[in-house]
Amino acid sequence: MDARIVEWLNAGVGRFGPWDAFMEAVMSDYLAPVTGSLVLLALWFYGNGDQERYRNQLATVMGAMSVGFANLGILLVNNHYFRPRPFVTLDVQPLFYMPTDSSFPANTAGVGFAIATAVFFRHRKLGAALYALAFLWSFGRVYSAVHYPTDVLAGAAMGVAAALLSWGLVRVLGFIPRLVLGAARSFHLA
Amino acid sequence: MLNEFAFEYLLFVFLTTLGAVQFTAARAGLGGLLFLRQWPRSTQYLAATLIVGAYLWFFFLSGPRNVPDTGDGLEGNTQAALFAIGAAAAVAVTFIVSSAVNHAWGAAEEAAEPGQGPPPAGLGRLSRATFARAFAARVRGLTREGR
Repeated sequence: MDARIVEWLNAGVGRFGPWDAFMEAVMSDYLAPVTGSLVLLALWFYGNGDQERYRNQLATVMGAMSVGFANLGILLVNNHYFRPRPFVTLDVQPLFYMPTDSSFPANTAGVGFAIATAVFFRHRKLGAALYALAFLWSFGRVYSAVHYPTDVLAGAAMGVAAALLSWGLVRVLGFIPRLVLGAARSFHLA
Repeated sequence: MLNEFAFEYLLFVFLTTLGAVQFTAARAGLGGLLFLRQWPRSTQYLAATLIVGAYLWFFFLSGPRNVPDTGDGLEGNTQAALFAIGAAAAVAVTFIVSSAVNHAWGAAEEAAEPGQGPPPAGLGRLSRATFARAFAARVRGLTREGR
């Protein structure tokens, strides 16, 4: 089933140049992570009043923590399980370079969904836009036969779990971000 | 030394961060961070143009971007480090340039309120003064309070 979805989607590669150019940009290692990070950075400065800005800054902190936890979780899984990439085992046309690390779980989905979930806790619309971007990023990787759909699902689940873990930690150990943000506020940096 | 790909990525991050901070500061009313303080709406359009332009340049008008880190592409940690450097540089440039071009802004208010303690903390202060002025007033106030 997993392989069939990859083959079915990948059959579209090369049929419509502009779509492939769009997918190449969307699935790149740079577009989604930079966009997500810019949103987190913008939240740091945004807010009508100190209270709203403080809550936005907590979302920025949670987003950064979520990416760290998601990457850590994926690294741990990668150390114990290796799954070859679809372009290695299937007869497909890659649209992307050929990574040599494990296909499972998808790091891109982990990072994308971690940032989107952290932002979604604070801003529903902005979070939804980032979920759409994370979905496109992940879809592009399946389209170009870099990941199987289950790699993406596992990565997305790990990203959401990482954001939930960050949210829980910020609630339980809230005095730490309060101290850090308080120190930054003293010098008009937060 | 940075290769061409890394330099272009750093420049892309720098430009988009500069645009994002200007756009957000204009929306949030943080005039002390704006390069064009009297024109917050124009600032939003210019910042959005800068961001979109930087994305178009980096992804469609310059070299190929889907390059493995075994070639000229960036490995994850390097990518994160370059993002941090580019973003920090853009924020620093924002603080310095906005403080320079609006240097007199907030002086009258400061002179009218020669308070004994430090002025209010936080980014919110930048809706009434530049970063340099707010920072200096804060340090002076804290020093006075410490005596």
